[in-house]
Amino acid sequence: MTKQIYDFIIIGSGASGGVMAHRLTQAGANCLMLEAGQDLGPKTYPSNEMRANAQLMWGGGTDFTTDAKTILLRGKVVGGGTIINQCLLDRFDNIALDDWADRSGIKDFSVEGMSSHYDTAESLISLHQYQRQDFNRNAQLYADSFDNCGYKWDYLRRGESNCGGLCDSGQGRKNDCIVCLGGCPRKSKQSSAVTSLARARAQGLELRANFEVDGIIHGKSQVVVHGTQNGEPQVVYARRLIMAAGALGSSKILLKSGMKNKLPALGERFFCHPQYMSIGFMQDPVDAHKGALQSVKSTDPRFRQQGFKLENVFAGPIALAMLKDGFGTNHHKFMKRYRNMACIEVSVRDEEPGTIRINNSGKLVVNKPTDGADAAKAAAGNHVVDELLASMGCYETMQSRLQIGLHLMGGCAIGENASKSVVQPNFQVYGHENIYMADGGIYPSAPGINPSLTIMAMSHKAADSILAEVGHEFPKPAKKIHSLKEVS
Amino acid sequence: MDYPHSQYLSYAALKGLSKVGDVVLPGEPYDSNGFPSFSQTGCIHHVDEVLVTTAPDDVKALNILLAILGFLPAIVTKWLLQLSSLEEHAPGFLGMGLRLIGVALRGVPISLYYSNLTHPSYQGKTVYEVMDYQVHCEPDY
Repeated sequence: MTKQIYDFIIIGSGASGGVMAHRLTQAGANCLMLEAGQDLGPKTYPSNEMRANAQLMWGGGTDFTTDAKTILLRGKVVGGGTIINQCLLDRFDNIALDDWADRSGIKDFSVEGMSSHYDTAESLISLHQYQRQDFNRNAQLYADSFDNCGYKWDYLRRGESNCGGLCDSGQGRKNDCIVCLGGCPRKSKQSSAVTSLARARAQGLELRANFEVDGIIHGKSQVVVHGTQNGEPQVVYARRLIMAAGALGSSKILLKSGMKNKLPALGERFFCHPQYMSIGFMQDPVDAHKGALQSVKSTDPRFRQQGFKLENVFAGPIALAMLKDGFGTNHHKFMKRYRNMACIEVSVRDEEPGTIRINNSGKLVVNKPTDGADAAKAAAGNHVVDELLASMGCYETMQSRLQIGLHLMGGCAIGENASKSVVQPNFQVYGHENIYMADGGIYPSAPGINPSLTIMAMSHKAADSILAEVGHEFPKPAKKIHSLKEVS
Repeated sequence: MDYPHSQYLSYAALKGLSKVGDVVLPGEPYDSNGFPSFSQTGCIHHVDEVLVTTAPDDVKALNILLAILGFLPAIVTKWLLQLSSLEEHAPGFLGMGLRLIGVALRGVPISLYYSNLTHPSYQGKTVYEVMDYQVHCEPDY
């Protein structure tokens, strides 16, 4: 039997993989996407929090750093991290991009240089900002307390298209976005599964779910990818490979493939925007789990300068119970007041890099120090949170000691210096000319801003760069971009 | 107590999980907040759904830990949980070890209990009813 050789194999189906697949299939390339998780959708996402954790996340959402201080959450489902996040889509500012330009030596990293790629990424998704009258009470309390304390805030930009409007009473949203953390059953949240990936599939993308990659073998004219699908060994071939499995996933595969010797920066400079949730108890119900879960953010330049930001956020019962330490009747007393909880989160722009390694069993080992300068940033943020919760009138507060890492970045930094980087400015992996990468793994530092939109924009930029180089090889470019309606 | 058949946990470990679960999440008369106990809800019958993605090495370690705690008095579990809460003040490896004990002892019971899943025969108030937790998201398909 003749082996099939694809133009591209794309490993990972999240923010980067979806965009890459869309652009490459649009150009007529024959693409195969490999995703370790299941191919679920709006009708099949689990509605139960425990089942969602188990079915949509690596390790059931219980992967920790080596010091067991930070829990690392990453999607394992078609759509990757875009299925389990809140789809908050902001552009990076000069502070973040100038730092990238300095560290990588790539001058294109600027607000102006990235502008057209952000435009393209945004043109393929629906964006929405909730206004004050649409806020749930947690967001109202957040905005009021910021105003009272003299801090600046703004509306978050959310990727969503149709969350069902207001309740019949006109008070609050009809649907509760906390459900979207386990996959959106309304095709509203603009995950890659309902946007770029849906278009790519309509344009001929072949997708194999439940395919866990064990390693890759790089040759001059071909890349071999081996792994298991539904427990069965599989080998697939392509002329070029796109790594889009995220900071931890892509790093793990490259490490398991023995590339650390040739790529000394592989697995170095890992960042995760450590997040710290604080709860304040109000006398009356807050119902932070109702309506739009996240709709406001801090924009105070003093916070940006100090290296943290604050968001209104909340979590389901299992996550909240894990954040509260202790046990027994005190724990029950805490959870009984779930509806009375106001919640603010500190997200730190971390500067202490971590490392990504694999142990003898091939298991990820992530070391992420958070004790030095980053601890000081967290303390400064939590000090402001205490002030805000007091301003709301909270009669008791709880600051979680468990840190959450949802924005997983680095490990395969992009840059002009081969000894300090894994990926070249043209998105090729150093020394491996037919392997490309543009996911969160290439981030040279933590931006302090939600990374999803920039991953999409960078993937557009990378796909343009790849197509400029090899696009002439594909005979049948797709005639048009499919609209969301056509592919849904 | 009726224990489920599990692909991942031995009978001894299931007994231990039930005992640990009731220390972490007690019901009346040990709790006055109106919650049922871990074992009353029968959520342990869904244990395999939690452990399906757990690494085999971790499942093995959990089996050993739970089986040992199943044989020891509940006060030992309480002592371990209290000890784990001191992690913040413990240095390096000791702190890490205490945090891991806390995660191991609390993680599975909390996931099962706050999933609101019960044994089919359970008739009492559910955990979500006690919390008055309801969410709504109308599918549009």
